[in-house]
Amino acid sequence: MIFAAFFALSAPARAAACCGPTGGDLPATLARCERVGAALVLADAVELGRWGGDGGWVATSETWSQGTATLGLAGRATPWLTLNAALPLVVTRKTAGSLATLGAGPGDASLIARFEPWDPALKKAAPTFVAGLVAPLGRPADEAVDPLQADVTGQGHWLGVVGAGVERAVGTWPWHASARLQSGAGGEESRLDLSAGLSRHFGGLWIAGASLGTALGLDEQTRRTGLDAQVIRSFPPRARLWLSAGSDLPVSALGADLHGEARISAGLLLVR
Amino acid sequence: MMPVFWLSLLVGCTSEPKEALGPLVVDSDGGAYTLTVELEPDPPTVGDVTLRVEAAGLSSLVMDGGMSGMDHGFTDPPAVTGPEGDLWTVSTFFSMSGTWELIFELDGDAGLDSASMDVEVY
Repeated sequence: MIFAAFFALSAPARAAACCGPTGGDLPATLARCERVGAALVLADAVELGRWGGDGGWVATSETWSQGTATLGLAGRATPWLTLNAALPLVVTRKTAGSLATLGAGPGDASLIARFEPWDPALKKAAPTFVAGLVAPLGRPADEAVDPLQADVTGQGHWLGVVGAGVERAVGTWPWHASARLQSGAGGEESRLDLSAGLSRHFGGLWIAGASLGTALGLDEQTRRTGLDAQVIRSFPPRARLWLSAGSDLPVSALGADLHGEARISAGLLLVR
Repeated sequence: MMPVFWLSLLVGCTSEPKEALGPLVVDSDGGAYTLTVELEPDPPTVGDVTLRVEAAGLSSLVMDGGMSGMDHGFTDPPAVTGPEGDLWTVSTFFSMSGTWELIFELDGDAGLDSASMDVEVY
């Protein structure tokens, strides 16, 4: 069941106007019968505005957009354990007044283990667990030299990631729900991502789905809420292609003290 | 790209207007001084911002700070000139929008003290 491999715990690689992608493991992973895979994901995000500290949605005086190319590798160690690694290359464009800047560099890399103790093809509620690390290979904000910090590509901290999710198919309508926690050793960048969604299976080759998610910053009491949609086309037995689009919802009270973005991505996964 | 285009229109229709902060009054932590702070532009935007700080009895004022939620400070230290009477001028550069914490280190007739305030940069 390919849909199970895609939607479970696929936290969107959300960027931020100061930093590179976070928690950006691949949105796709291996199905039960697949042993290894390689993926390339191209994504772009643009800032829509921000939520103030009081939750009010406001436009900003700056413009920000960020393109990301992510290379991913996945390997199945056992029938129930896969390892996923991802490394992004980040390009950020910012303007403020008469100032326009561009920055680029590698982002933070991630290594995530996925535990799927039950085969989702059994059509029961299938839990999935993840655990892993995000390595601070990107340039953090306190090392930026660009006046608008367009050269910031990472968080600057090692992050631990744990999460759990469940998927269940009702006919050709799989639904999923997940929770994912990331944090630095000292509580840096601590964040809880919650997501729930529904998808539809079309004829064995197409899957379309949407999910609603909210991210809660535990230290700074920040939050953001967004909606993402995805279409997947399989080319068995070796490839699948996907297109994803989403946006944070620019409505007051659905976020606090964070920037909101719209995003689009396309990816190709080759498997064996 | 339709979702992005549609949402851009939605932002134009639903953004709350940005109100000027006006003079902000901040008491120092030890109660030794009272600062009246005006920003230009008001509300502050990304880029160059000037703060006019009025406080009686000060002989020294230093400003620092940053975005604690994003773990970074100012790209360059804010430049302080003055006083002209009780008025100090602070020139700084906000590198991005969001909540910034401004920290003032004060010295004067009532001794050493400090003050802090948060401002939303748009």
